[in-house]
Amino acid sequence: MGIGRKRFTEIVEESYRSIYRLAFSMLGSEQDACDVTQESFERLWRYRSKVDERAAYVWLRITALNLCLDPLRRRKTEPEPLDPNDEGSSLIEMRPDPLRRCLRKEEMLMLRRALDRLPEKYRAAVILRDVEDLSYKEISQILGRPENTVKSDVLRGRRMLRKILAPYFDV
Amino acid sequence: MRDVRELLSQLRDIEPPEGLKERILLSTVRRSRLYRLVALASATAIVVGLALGLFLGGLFVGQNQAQKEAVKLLEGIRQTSRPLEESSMMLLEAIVLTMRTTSMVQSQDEEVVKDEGI
Repeated sequence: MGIGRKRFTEIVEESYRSIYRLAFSMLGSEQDACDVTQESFERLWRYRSKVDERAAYVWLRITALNLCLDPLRRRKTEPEPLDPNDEGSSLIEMRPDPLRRCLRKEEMLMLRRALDRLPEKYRAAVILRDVEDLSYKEISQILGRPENTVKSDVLRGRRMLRKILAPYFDV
Repeated sequence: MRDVRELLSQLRDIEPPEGLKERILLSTVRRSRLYRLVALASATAIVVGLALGLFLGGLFVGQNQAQKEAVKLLEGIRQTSRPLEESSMMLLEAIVLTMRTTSMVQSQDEEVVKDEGI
Protein backbone atom coordinates (compact mmCIF):
# COMPACT_ATOMS: atom_id res chain seq x y z
CA MET A 1 0.00 0.00 0.00
CA GLY A 2 1.27 3.45 -0.81
CA ILE A 3 3.45 4.79 -3.58
CA GLY A 4 6.99 5.98 -3.02
CA ARG A 5 8.66 8.92 -4.75
CA LYS A 6 10.60 6.71 -7.14
CA ARG A 7 7.58 4.60 -8.07
CA PHE A 8 5.49 7.71 -8.56
CA THR A 9 8.04 9.09 -11.03
CA GLU A 10 7.92 5.77 -12.89
CA ILE A 11 4.12 5.87 -12.99
CA VAL A 12 4.26 9.41 -14.41
CA GLU A 13 6.71 8.31 -17.09
CA GLU A 14 4.68 5.23 -17.98
CA SER A 15 1.22 6.70 -18.04
CA TYR A 16 1.20 10.47 -18.59
CA ARG A 17 0.80 9.95 -22.34
CA SER A 18 -2.24 7.70 -21.99
CA ILE A 19 -3.86 9.97 -19.39
CA TYR A 20 -3.30 12.95 -21.69
CA ARG A 21 -4.69 10.97 -24.64
CA LEU A 22 -7.77 10.03 -22.63
CA ALA A 23 -8.33 13.63 -21.51
CA PHE A 24 -7.72 14.97 -24.99
CA SER A 25 -10.13 12.44 -26.54
CA MET A 26 -12.76 13.36 -23.99
CA LEU A 27 -12.29 17.13 -24.17
CA GLY A 28 -10.68 17.91 -27.52
CA SER A 29 -8.68 20.79 -26.10
CA GLU A 30 -4.95 20.62 -25.57
CA GLN A 31 -5.04 23.11 -22.70
CA ASP A 32 -7.87 21.35 -20.85
CA ALA A 33 -6.25 17.95 -21.44
CA CYS A 34 -2.95 19.21 -19.99
CA ASP A 35 -4.75 20.63 -16.95
CA VAL A 36 -6.69 17.42 -16.36
CA THR A 37 -3.54 15.29 -16.74
CA GLN A 38 -1.58 17.44 -14.32
CA GLU A 39 -4.42 17.56 -11.79
CA SER A 40 -4.86 13.76 -11.96
CA PHE A 41 -1.20 13.19 -11.09
CA GLU A 42 -1.29 15.87 -8.41
CA ARG A 43 -4.19 14.04 -6.79
CA LEU A 44 -2.39 10.73 -7.02
CA TRP A 45 0.61 12.36 -5.33
CA ARG A 46 -1.62 13.81 -2.63
CA TYR A 47 -3.28 10.46 -1.91
CA ARG A 48 -0.20 8.29 -2.61
CA SER A 49 -0.25 6.80 0.85
CA LYS A 50 -3.84 5.59 0.39
CA VAL A 51 -3.69 4.35 -3.19
CA ASP A 52 -2.55 0.81 -3.88
CA GLU A 53 0.37 0.79 -6.29
CA ARG A 54 -1.30 -1.88 -8.47
CA ALA A 55 -4.49 0.15 -8.69
CA ALA A 56 -2.70 3.40 -9.54
CA TYR A 57 -3.40 3.22 -13.27
CA VAL A 58 -7.10 2.55 -12.81
CA TRP A 59 -7.24 5.23 -10.12
CA LEU A 60 -5.59 7.75 -12.46
CA ARG A 61 -8.06 7.02 -15.26
CA ILE A 62 -11.06 7.29 -12.95
CA THR A 63 -9.74 10.60 -11.62
CA ALA A 64 -8.99 11.91 -15.11
CA LEU A 65 -12.48 10.97 -16.33
CA ASN A 66 -14.09 12.63 -13.32
CA LEU A 67 -11.98 15.73 -13.88
CA CYS A 68 -13.09 15.80 -17.52
CA LEU A 69 -16.68 16.20 -16.37
CA ASP A 70 -16.13 19.74 -15.09
CA PRO A 71 -14.96 21.26 -18.39
CA LEU A 72 -17.64 19.24 -20.20
CA ARG A 73 -20.39 20.63 -17.96
CA ARG A 74 -18.99 24.13 -18.37
CA ARG A 75 -19.15 23.71 -22.11
CA LYS A 76 -22.77 22.68 -21.95
CA THR A 77 -23.63 26.03 -20.40
CA GLU A 78 -21.16 28.17 -22.38
CA PRO A 79 -20.35 26.47 -25.68
CA GLU A 80 -16.74 27.15 -26.66
CA PRO A 81 -15.95 28.18 -30.19
CA LEU A 82 -13.95 25.48 -31.92
CA ASP A 83 -10.31 26.47 -32.22
CA PRO A 84 -8.79 24.88 -35.32
CA ASN A 85 -5.29 25.62 -34.05
CA ASP A 86 -5.94 23.76 -30.86
CA GLU A 87 -7.83 20.70 -32.08
CA GLY A 88 -5.44 17.92 -32.88
CA SER A 89 -2.52 20.30 -32.93
CA SER A 90 -0.39 17.75 -31.14
CA LEU A 91 -0.70 15.49 -34.16
CA ILE A 92 0.86 17.94 -36.57
CA GLU A 93 4.39 16.89 -35.73
CA MET A 94 3.55 13.26 -36.47
CA ARG A 95 3.15 13.69 -40.25
CA PRO A 96 5.76 15.46 -42.28
CA ASP A 97 3.71 15.46 -45.50
CA PRO A 98 1.63 18.72 -45.54
CA LEU A 99 -1.33 17.27 -47.50
CA ARG A 100 -1.59 14.22 -45.30
CA ARG A 101 -1.18 16.46 -42.31
CA CYS A 102 -4.11 18.59 -43.41
CA LEU A 103 -6.32 15.59 -44.15
CA ARG A 104 -5.45 14.01 -40.88
CA LYS A 105 -6.19 17.19 -39.02
CA GLU A 106 -9.56 17.42 -40.76
CA GLU A 107 -10.34 13.82 -39.84
CA MET A 108 -9.35 14.50 -36.27
CA LEU A 109 -11.62 17.52 -36.14
CA MET A 110 -14.55 15.50 -37.43
CA LEU A 111 -13.81 12.69 -35.04
CA ARG A 112 -13.53 15.09 -32.12
CA ARG A 113 -16.79 16.78 -33.01
CA ALA A 114 -18.48 13.41 -33.34
CA LEU A 115 -17.15 12.31 -29.95
CA ASP A 116 -18.40 15.55 -28.42
CA ARG A 117 -21.88 14.67 -29.57
CA LEU A 118 -21.87 11.33 -27.77
CA PRO A 119 -23.40 11.15 -24.28
CA GLU A 120 -20.62 11.13 -21.64
CA LYS A 121 -21.03 7.51 -20.59
CA TYR A 122 -20.84 6.22 -24.18
CA ARG A 123 -17.96 8.52 -24.99
CA ALA A 124 -15.89 7.33 -22.03
CA ALA A 125 -16.64 3.68 -22.81
CA VAL A 126 -15.75 4.02 -26.51
CA ILE A 127 -12.54 5.96 -25.81
CA LEU A 128 -11.38 3.51 -23.16
CA ARG A 129 -12.08 0.57 -25.46
CA ASP A 130 -11.08 1.82 -28.91
CA VAL A 131 -8.47 4.46 -28.12
CA GLU A 132 -6.95 3.18 -24.90
CA ASP A 133 -7.45 -0.44 -25.94
CA LEU A 134 -8.47 -1.56 -22.45
CA SER A 135 -10.31 -4.77 -21.74
CA TYR A 136 -14.01 -4.70 -20.80
CA LYS A 137 -13.05 -5.84 -17.32
CA GLU A 138 -10.70 -2.87 -16.87
CA ILE A 139 -13.28 -0.47 -18.28
CA SER A 140 -15.94 -1.80 -15.93
CA GLN A 141 -13.52 -1.19 -13.02
CA ILE A 142 -12.84 2.36 -14.17
CA LEU A 143 -16.43 3.31 -14.93
CA GLY A 144 -17.86 1.37 -12.00
CA ARG A 145 -20.41 -0.37 -14.20
CA PRO A 146 -20.98 -4.10 -14.91
CA GLU A 147 -19.03 -5.57 -17.80
CA ASN A 148 -22.16 -6.30 -19.84
CA THR A 149 -23.37 -2.72 -19.45
CA VAL A 150 -19.96 -1.51 -20.60
CA LYS A 151 -20.13 -3.79 -23.65
CA SER A 152 -23.53 -2.47 -24.63
CA ASP A 153 -22.36 1.14 -23.98
CA VAL A 154 -19.41 0.62 -26.31
CA LEU A 155 -21.62 -0.88 -29.01
CA ARG A 156 -24.19 1.91 -28.71
CA GLY A 157 -21.44 4.52 -28.72
CA ARG A 158 -19.89 3.07 -31.87
CA ARG A 159 -23.29 2.92 -33.55
CA MET A 160 -23.98 6.55 -32.72
CA LEU A 161 -20.53 7.57 -33.95
CA ARG A 162 -21.09 5.72 -37.20
CA LYS A 163 -24.32 7.63 -37.70
CA ILE A 164 -22.68 10.98 -36.95
CA LEU A 165 -19.66 10.29 -39.15
CA ALA A 166 -21.55 8.73 -42.06
CA PRO A 167 -21.92 11.99 -44.03
CA TYR A 168 -18.15 12.63 -43.88
CA PHE A 169 -16.56 9.19 -43.95
CA ASP A 170 -17.27 5.93 -45.64
CA VAL A 171 -18.16 4.15 -42.43
CA MET B 1 -15.60 1.06 -46.03
CA ARG B 2 -13.84 2.18 -42.88
CA ASP B 3 -14.57 0.93 -39.45
CA VAL B 4 -15.29 3.39 -36.63
CA ARG B 5 -12.71 1.56 -34.55
CA GLU B 6 -10.10 2.21 -37.21
CA LEU B 7 -10.94 5.91 -37.21
CA LEU B 8 -10.83 6.05 -33.44
CA SER B 9 -7.49 4.30 -33.39
CA GLN B 10 -6.03 7.44 -34.99
CA LEU B 11 -6.46 9.09 -31.64
CA ARG B 12 -3.76 6.78 -30.31
CA ASP B 13 -1.21 8.89 -32.16
CA ILE B 14 -2.00 11.85 -29.95
CA GLU B 15 1.15 12.99 -28.22
CA PRO B 16 1.15 15.31 -25.25
CA PRO B 17 2.84 18.68 -25.69
CA GLU B 18 6.50 18.90 -24.78
CA GLY B 19 7.20 19.68 -21.19
CA LEU B 20 4.01 18.15 -19.77
CA LYS B 21 5.93 15.46 -17.93
CA GLU B 22 8.25 18.08 -16.46
CA ARG B 23 5.23 20.16 -15.47
CA ILE B 24 3.71 17.17 -13.66
CA LEU B 25 6.92 16.27 -11.86
CA LEU B 26 7.49 19.89 -10.95
CA SER B 27 4.06 20.18 -9.38
CA THR B 28 4.34 16.90 -7.45
CA VAL B 29 7.66 15.24 -6.58
CA ARG B 30 9.88 18.29 -7.06
CA ARG B 31 7.54 20.71 -5.36
CA SER B 32 7.38 18.39 -2.40
CA ARG B 33 11.20 18.25 -2.41
CA LEU B 34 11.24 22.04 -2.50
CA TYR B 35 8.77 22.18 0.39
CA ARG B 36 10.97 19.75 2.28
CA LEU B 37 13.99 21.97 1.68
CA VAL B 38 12.07 25.05 2.78
CA ALA B 39 10.85 23.20 5.90
CA LEU B 40 14.41 22.10 6.66
CA ALA B 41 15.72 25.64 6.20
CA SER B 42 12.95 27.00 8.44
CA ALA B 43 13.65 24.39 11.11
CA THR B 44 17.37 25.22 10.97
CA ALA B 45 16.59 28.93 11.23
CA ILE B 46 14.33 28.28 14.24
CA VAL B 47 16.99 26.15 15.96
CA VAL B 48 19.70 28.76 15.28
CA GLY B 49 17.35 31.50 16.47
CA LEU B 50 16.55 29.61 19.64
CA ALA B 51 20.21 28.89 20.33
CA LEU B 52 21.11 32.52 19.73
CA GLY B 53 18.24 33.62 21.93
CA LEU B 54 19.34 31.31 24.70
CA PHE B 55 22.94 32.47 24.38
CA LEU B 56 22.02 36.14 24.39
CA GLY B 57 19.52 35.50 27.16
CA GLY B 58 22.29 33.85 29.16
CA LEU B 59 24.51 36.83 28.55
CA PHE B 60 21.71 39.13 29.60
CA VAL B 61 21.11 37.14 32.75
CA GLY B 62 24.85 37.21 33.47
CA GLN B 63 24.92 40.94 32.87
CA ASN B 64 21.96 41.40 35.20
CA GLN B 65 23.65 39.33 37.86
CA ALA B 66 26.86 41.33 37.53
CA GLN B 67 24.85 44.52 37.78
CA LYS B 68 23.13 43.24 40.91
CA GLU B 69 26.45 42.28 42.40
CA ALA B 70 27.87 45.71 41.64
CA VAL B 71 24.89 47.35 43.30
CA LYS B 72 25.39 45.12 46.34
CA LEU B 73 29.09 46.05 46.44
CA LEU B 74 28.30 49.73 46.24
CA GLU B 75 25.77 49.31 49.02
CA GLY B 76 28.44 47.56 51.03
CA ILE B 77 30.94 50.31 50.40
CA ARG B 78 28.37 52.92 51.25
CA GLN B 79 27.57 51.16 54.48
CA THR B 80 31.24 50.83 55.46
CA SER B 81 31.98 54.46 54.49
CA ARG B 82 29.29 55.86 56.81
CA PRO B 83 31.20 55.13 60.03
CA LEU B 84 34.31 56.45 58.32
CA GLU B 85 32.50 59.68 57.50
CA GLU B 86 31.27 59.99 61.10
CA SER B 87 34.69 59.44 62.58
CA SER B 88 36.29 61.89 60.20
CA MET B 89 33.67 64.47 61.21
CA MET B 90 34.48 63.81 64.82
CA LEU B 91 38.12 64.21 64.06
CA LEU B 92 37.48 67.48 62.29
CA GLU B 93 35.37 68.71 65.18
CA ALA B 94 38.12 67.76 67.58
CA ILE B 95 40.69 69.61 65.47
CA VAL B 96 38.46 72.72 65.30
CA LEU B 97 37.90 72.59 69.09
CA THR B 98 41.60 72.29 69.77
CA MET B 99 42.32 75.20 67.47
CA ARG B 100 39.69 77.32 69.25
CA THR B 101 41.01 76.56 72.71
CA THR B 102 44.55 77.26 71.56
CA SER B 103 43.57 80.68 70.21
CA MET B 104 41.63 81.49 73.41
CA VAL B 105 44.63 80.63 75.64
CA GLN B 106 46.88 82.73 73.39
CA SER B 107 44.61 85.84 73.65
CA GLN B 108 44.36 85.50 77.46
CA ASP B 109 48.18 85.45 77.73
CA GLU B 110 48.39 88.61 75.62
CA GLU B 111 45.92 90.44 77.91
CA VAL B 112 47.92 89.45 81.03
CA VAL B 113 51.09 90.79 79.42
CA LYS B 114 49.32 94.13 78.65
CA ASP B 115 47.95 94.49 82.23
CA GLU B 116 51.30 93.86 83.86
CA GLY B 117 52.87 96.42 81.56
CA ILE B 118 55.39 94.17 80.13
